[in-house]
Amino acid sequence: MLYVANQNSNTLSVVNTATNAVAAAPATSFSPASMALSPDGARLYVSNPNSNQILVYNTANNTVVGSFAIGQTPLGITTDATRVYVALHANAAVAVFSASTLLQQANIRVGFGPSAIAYSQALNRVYVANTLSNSVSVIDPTRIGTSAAPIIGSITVPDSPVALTIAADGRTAWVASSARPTLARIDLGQGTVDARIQLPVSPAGLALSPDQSRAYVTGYGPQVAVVDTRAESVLKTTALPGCPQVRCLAMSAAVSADGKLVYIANTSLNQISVLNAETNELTTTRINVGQSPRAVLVGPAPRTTPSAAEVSN
Amino acid sequence: MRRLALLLASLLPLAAQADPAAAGPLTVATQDYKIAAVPMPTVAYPIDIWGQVWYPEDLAKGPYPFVFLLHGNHGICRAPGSMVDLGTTSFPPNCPPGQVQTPNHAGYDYLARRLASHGYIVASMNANAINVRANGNPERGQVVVEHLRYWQAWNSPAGGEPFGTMFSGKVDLQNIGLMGHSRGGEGVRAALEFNRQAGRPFGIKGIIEIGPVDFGRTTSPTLVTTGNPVYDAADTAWSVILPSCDADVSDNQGMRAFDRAFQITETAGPTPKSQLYILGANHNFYNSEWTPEDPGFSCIDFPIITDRPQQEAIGTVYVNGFMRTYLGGEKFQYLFHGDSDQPTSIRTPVAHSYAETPARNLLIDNFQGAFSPMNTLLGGPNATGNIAAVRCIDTGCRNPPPAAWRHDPGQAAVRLDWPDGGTGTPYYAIHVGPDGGGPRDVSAYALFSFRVAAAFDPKNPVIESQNFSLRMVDATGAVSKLIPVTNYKAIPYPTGYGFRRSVLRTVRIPLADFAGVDFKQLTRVDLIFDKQPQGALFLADVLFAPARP
Amino acid sequence: MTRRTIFSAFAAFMVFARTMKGAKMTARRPKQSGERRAESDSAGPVLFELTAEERWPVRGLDPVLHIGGTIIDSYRFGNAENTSLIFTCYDASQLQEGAAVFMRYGQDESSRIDFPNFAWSTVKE
Repeated sequence: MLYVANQNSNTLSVVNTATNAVAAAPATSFSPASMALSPDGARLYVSNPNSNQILVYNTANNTVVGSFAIGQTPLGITTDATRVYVALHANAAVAVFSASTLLQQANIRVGFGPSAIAYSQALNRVYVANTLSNSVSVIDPTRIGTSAAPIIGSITVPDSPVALTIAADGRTAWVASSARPTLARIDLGQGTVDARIQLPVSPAGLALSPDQSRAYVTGYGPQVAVVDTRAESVLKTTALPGCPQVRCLAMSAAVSADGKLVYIANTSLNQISVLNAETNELTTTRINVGQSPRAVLVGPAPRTTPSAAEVSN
Repeated sequence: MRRLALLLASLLPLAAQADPAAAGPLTVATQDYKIAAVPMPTVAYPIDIWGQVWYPEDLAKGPYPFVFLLHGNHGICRAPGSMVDLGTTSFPPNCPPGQVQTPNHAGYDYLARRLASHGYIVASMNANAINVRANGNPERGQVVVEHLRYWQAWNSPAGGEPFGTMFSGKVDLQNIGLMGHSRGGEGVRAALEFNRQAGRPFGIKGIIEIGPVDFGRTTSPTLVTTGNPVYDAADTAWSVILPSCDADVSDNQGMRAFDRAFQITETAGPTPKSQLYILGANHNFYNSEWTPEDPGFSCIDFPIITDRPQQEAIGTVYVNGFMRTYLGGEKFQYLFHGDSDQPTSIRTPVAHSYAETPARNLLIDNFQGAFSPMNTLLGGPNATGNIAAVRCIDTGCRNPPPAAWRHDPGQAAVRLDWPDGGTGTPYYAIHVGPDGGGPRDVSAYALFSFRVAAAFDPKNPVIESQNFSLRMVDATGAVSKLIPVTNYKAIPYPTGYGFRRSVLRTVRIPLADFAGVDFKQLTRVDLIFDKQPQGALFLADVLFAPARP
Repeated sequence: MTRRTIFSAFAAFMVFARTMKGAKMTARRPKQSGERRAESDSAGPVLFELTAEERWPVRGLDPVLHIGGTIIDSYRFGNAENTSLIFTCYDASQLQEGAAVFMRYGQDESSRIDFPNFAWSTVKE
């Protein structure tokens, strides 16, 4: 399934990727911005920065099973086995809550303007990009609830980091910065930036192929840049369908589990475009979703039997 | 010869000054623009790209300098026809049924169209979507830069919605001035920083702030941390208007940003920094859409301005004068350095603080050194007689409550209290030479400058100005005449809204006025407290400055 | 000291306050939903609703609720007339029984309003 957060219609679009039909459009709270799935795929967490709320959905039937407040302007979300981590953009903090009780366990002071956040299972670390401090804070979850400070490091990442994603092996992070468009690679074991690639796109969204060979950066234009991560160079920049305004934006990308398709949220056009990862060409598929899709997320494969709602669409 | 020229210059009668608030020759047109609910990667929630632009109706010439205005936090919803502005129960900028959005950005029409008539394109953005929530200042800065990117597109040959090509080639985005009011002040300072991080795609030549906040800088004793770093006005001409009767930002936070002008590193220069402490001015009258923040119009010991047109006239003088000087190359610098009288239309005292690129000054002492005040940064020793000289910084300068010191936590001063148990004329002799008492050549400089404020202390006179005298001494032992400070600036009793605060103001004295000493071998500046039998003052930032560029 | 300076010093020491008519505070747990919630009283958010007979102004300075050393700056309006201002403390475990409570816009002491000390018994479910 493909999950899309539509920031201006206050809805999700749940798309059956087998048919590219919108299977459900559940309501959210105000201005949904970011999403994360629980490791077992059963729960979807959605941040709503204009109501300072997190909503929790049961992905089996797309109903809200939890809604609560844990801090101001929640933005990026990530999960590990037992906890959910939320970047509180206005509070310079990461709020941590228990996935089982939905109660807050910690409020960790990080840099200014934390936005994107991700978890490395291999290293058992949470990484959060602080857009206003030009840094990535490193959190050790084993320290939460103890007297030891959960922040164990800070990695300098210049030029307003806005997107962060961690490779499947958990040992490398990629960070897109928007002030001077760049893509930085972080060796998470060393805690240092070991490559910086100039981007032709002012970035908003970032996704990695499962084998980490490709990074997909979406941004203003709207455009998507395909980056060869091993050659550390941009392979191709593709324009997405534009909008009537002078500033058009694609804010997010997500790669299918088999790495063959890249779903791109074309925010200004209220559509998902699909890039063929083998040819790096846009397919003709355009999925109409709600207003201003800001985030896309690929989830577990859909059921093979279409639901009654899908049949009737 | 040079000293003679300087002497003559100081004696010239005040030339008839042009009026910075006068209407210009051009007819002005205005339009709104609005692209609703735009998501941005650096802002968590969607914002309207909504503004009003004033411009010469005949855009035949150009490109025109571009001025961008940013209002502050304020209610965003009102009943139609009402001036009572409310926060929403939904999320900004949505209003409850029956209410309409407050056009907060329209409240600078009175100064925008005046400036446009001189050949400027002036745009004012609406920040309702950011309002009615804690802080939001980094977001304000991001949205300012986003507006500039839209203007970059509208300036391009292709133009774009909604203007088509009417502004193509008309907007000089390398000659931009920003004005921010209240939270908009820190917002435009944040925009300056975001522009710098992006490699300065836009040429921001000047920023003027009115009653701004400075949320990035926590202040003791109650540390209320906020969600943004400190924003400084580096590498740009900058001015801050501090309304002395500001009943909103009642601690005049903008003075902290001025204090930091002495501490920040700048790569460009000269970039003049000024602070205008305007006696009697309030916060809200600068925006014609805003009703007074304190309908009771209370202020301690100073008549508050209750006449909206008077305060709008002040806003027009300084905002127009700023932009016409630092973007337009006109000659209204006196509005900001304060070395000569302010326009008669101002009708209320203005206390100036002024600094030009610190690297060009000879700083004698900012009292931050461990050995201040009895040794300067450059050497020593200093001497005192019948006066207590105690260095203070931050909370050390606050006494007594409810009066306060609200300067930047990094701002140091020496507090001088006299008399101090003796009978002779109190003095504080500052040695300007190197360690051990030798002379220093200060002949390259034109002005002696320091900052001073009266403490809230019963030793100070309340109605008349506090005062003292200055003289200079050279290595031959020659002594200049004694010059009273009030020949140049007053040192009034602290006033303010809600509590009295000591606000440092700059005194700048031409060296030529200290006749009779050889500036090539100066040894001392003596502060002689011969004018008032007692007093308590803060002294800061003692330096020699070159002639104004 | 002259009589004039004595008078002025006295006048300056008078507390200058802008009062809000009828200011009151109530505390409650927000309606939160979830599949499983701990039974603990002291976890999760607490809302503090400040009501008055006049509207709470929207200013350059933010309204901030202080409960002991806990600083709460997340707020929203509870009604269209803005006579209700609701602060959200996201983590109630920060709240100390008996702590002094006041609301103030930034550090503007003239806007300070004191409320009764915090007591868990006053928090409605």
